[in-house]
Amino acid sequence: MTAPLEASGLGKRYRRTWALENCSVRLPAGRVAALVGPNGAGKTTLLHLAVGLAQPTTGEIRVLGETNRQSPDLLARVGFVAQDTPLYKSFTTNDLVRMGKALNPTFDVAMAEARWRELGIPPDKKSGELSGGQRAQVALALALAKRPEILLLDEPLASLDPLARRGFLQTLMTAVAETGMTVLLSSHLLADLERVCDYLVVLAAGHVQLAGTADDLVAGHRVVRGSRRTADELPREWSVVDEQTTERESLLLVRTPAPIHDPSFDVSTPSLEELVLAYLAHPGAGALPGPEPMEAVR
Amino acid sequence: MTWLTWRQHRALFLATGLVVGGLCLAMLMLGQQVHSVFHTGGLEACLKAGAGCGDLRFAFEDRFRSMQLLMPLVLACPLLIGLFWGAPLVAREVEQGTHRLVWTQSTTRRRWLLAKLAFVGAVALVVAAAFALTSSWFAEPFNTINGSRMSSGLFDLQGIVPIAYTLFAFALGVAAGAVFGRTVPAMGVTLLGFVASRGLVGSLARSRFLPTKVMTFATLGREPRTNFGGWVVDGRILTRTGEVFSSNGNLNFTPTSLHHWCPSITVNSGDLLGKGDLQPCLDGLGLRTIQTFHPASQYWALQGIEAGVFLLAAAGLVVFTVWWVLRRVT
Amino acid sequence: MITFRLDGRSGVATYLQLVQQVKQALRLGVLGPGDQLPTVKEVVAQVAINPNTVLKAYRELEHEGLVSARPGVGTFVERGLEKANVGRHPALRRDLRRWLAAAERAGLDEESVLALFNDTFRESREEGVA
Repeated sequence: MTAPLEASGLGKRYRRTWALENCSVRLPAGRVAALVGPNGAGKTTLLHLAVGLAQPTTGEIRVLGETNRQSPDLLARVGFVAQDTPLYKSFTTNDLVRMGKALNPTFDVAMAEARWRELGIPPDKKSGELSGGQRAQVALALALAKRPEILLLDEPLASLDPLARRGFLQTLMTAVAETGMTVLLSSHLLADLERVCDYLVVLAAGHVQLAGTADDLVAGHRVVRGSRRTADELPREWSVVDEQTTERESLLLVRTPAPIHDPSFDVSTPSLEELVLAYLAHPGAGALPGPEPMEAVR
Repeated sequence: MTWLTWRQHRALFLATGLVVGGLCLAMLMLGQQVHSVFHTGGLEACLKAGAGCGDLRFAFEDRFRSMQLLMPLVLACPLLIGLFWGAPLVAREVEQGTHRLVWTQSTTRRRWLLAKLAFVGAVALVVAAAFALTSSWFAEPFNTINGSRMSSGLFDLQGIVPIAYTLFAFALGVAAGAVFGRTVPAMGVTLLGFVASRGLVGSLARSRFLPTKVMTFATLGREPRTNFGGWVVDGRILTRTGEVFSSNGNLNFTPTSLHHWCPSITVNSGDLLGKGDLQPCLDGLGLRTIQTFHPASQYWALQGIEAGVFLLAAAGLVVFTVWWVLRRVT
Repeated sequence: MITFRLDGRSGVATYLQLVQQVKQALRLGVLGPGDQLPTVKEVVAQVAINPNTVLKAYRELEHEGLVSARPGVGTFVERGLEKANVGRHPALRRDLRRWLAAAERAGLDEESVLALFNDTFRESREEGVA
C-alpha cells in the first residue's frame, strides 16, 4: 500500500541555509500525525514541499504516491490550510465557496454551506470581518469540502483562543471519523495535540528526530527514578534521552526495548508531552524506528 | 478562474474606471470648448494659410493655459495602471499569503497567473485604447498650433503609443510585484522604471529610430516648407567660412558675441539696435542654417516603432514574470 | 446516553479514561444491557479526540465482554456491572483494621500509611497479581 506521504533524503536549501536536510519519513494511512518542533525546525518547509509550494533541493517527496505535487489531479485529493489561514479578505464566505467550486472538480458545496450554518457564520459576511476562530473554521471547511484523502495543516491552532481551538479540533476530528483521511498538522503546542494525534514526527534543526505512533513511542520509553548511578552502571540496552541528576538521585528518561524489572528503580510511563520535550531539549538524541514494525502494529 | 479574477479586481476596476472615466470626461468637455474656439475663432484658418497669427495664437494660448495642467495627468495615466493594477497583481497575494490558498487548489500556477494577466491586461488594454482615442482627439488643435504632432509631449499622448505605454507599465508592475512580493516597494520600482524608460526612449532613442533628413538654407531667407509638420531634432547656423554662429538655430546676439561677429558696430549701454543697424554685418557673414529633422511622413512609422519597443519590453516582462512565479515564489 | 469528560492532567491515558467512565456508568446503572454507546463520531464531536482512541476504548470494553459492536449499527451494552458494595466484605475489612493497627505500632503516620498502601497497590497491579 502506498503511504499518503513519504519522503526520502529530502532536503531544501534557501540561499545558503538548509531548512530541511536529509529528511526521511513515511506517514501511515489513516493517521492523525503531529509535526512538532521548535520554530525554524523546518515544519513549514516540509508542508510546503508536500503540497508543491516549494521544490526539493535534494531527495524526493511523494504524496499519495505522486512525485509531481503540483499536478491539479493530485491537488484535488490534497487539502491544505496554510499558516495564518489566508483568505481573500474582501470575499464573503459565499464567494469563497464559489471559488472552491470553480477551482476544484470534487468540491462539495453543500458540505461547506452546512458548516457555515452549524457554526453560525453568516454567508454574506466578508472573511476580513470574521473572528480568528471563524476564519480558521472557514479555511478548514474549504479544505475539507475538497474531500481530500490527505489534509495538511500548518500551525492551525497558533492564533486561536482555547474555545476556538476546541471547536476547530472538534470539526477536524469529526471529519476524520467520517472519512478516515490522513492528517498531518504542525504545531508547537503539544498539549493540544496529545489527544488528537496518534502519530508523531519531531523535527529539530531541519532533521527528523523522532517518528512513530504515539503508542509505540510511549511504550518504548520509561521515566526512571533511583539512586545516583554513572552511565556504566545502567543496563546496556537503555539509551538515555534526558538526565537530571542530583547528588543522590538520578531521574532519567530512557528508551528501552524491554520492560524494567529492577526493583531499585521507580519506573513510570512518560506522557507524550514529556517525551517530546526531552527530545527537543536534546537534539542529538534520535529515535527513528523503521516503518515496518510500525505497520505490523496496525 | 475568470470569475475569481473578476471578483478580486472588481472594486479596483470600479475605482480606476471612475478616475480614468472622469479624466476622459474632462478631456471631452474641455476638448469640445477648445475645438470650437479653434475652428470658429479664426485661428485654424489663419494657421492653415501659413501665417504667424501672433495675436490670435496668444489669445488662444492664454485662454487655455490651464490645459497645461491636464497634460501631465494624461501622460501619467499609463503609470497609474502600472502602479495600481500591475504592482499588486501578484504582490498582494504573496503579501497576504493567499497565493498559498489558490495554488493548493486543483489548478496550476501557470493557469492562475496567465488568467490574471490576460484578464486584467485585457481590461487595461480597453481602458488604454479608449483613453488614447480621447487624448488623440483632444490634442488635434494643439498639434496645429505647435506646427507638429511629433515633438515630445504631444507625440507621447496620441496615436498608439499610450496603449503600449500602458501595457508596459502594467507588465512592469506585475514583474516588480512578483520579484518583491510586497506592493509598496513594487510600486516604487514601477514608478522609477517607467519614468526612466520613458525618459530614455523619448530623449535618446526615439530620434534615432529612423534616418533623419538634412536641409540647408540661407538663414536670413525664407524657410523652405519641406520640414513642415516634422520634428526638428537639430539646427545650427554657420557662417560663410564654416564657423559655428549658433548651435541651437536661434539668431541672436549677446554684447560679447556682437563684438565678436560685428566689430564695426559699437554699442553704448542703453542703445537700442534696429534690424537696419545689423543688416550690413549679417549680410557680410553669409549665414546659413543646417537643419536635421524627421519629416512629417515618418509620424506613423515612429509611432509604430516606439509602440513596438514598449510592447516587446512588456512581453519580455510577462515571460520573466511567469518564469519567476513558477520557479521562485513559495 | 453517556457523556464523556476528559481530564488532561490526570496522567491516565485518554482511552483508559473512556473505559473507566463507561464502567462507572455501568456500575451506577446509568447504562444497562441493550443500551447503545455513543458513536465514534458523536464522541469525537463532543470531546475533540482522535477517533482511533475511541475505537481503542470500545475494543477494550468489547474484549472484556461488556459491550459488543454491531457493524453498521453501533456499539451496545452486553451486560451491566455489579454495583460495588463495600459493606459486603466484612472479612477483608477486619484484616485491614488489623494491618492498620500494626502500622501504627510501627510508628507510621497517616501519610506514610497511605503512601505505603498506594505504592504496594501499584506494585502488585504492575506485577499482575491484583
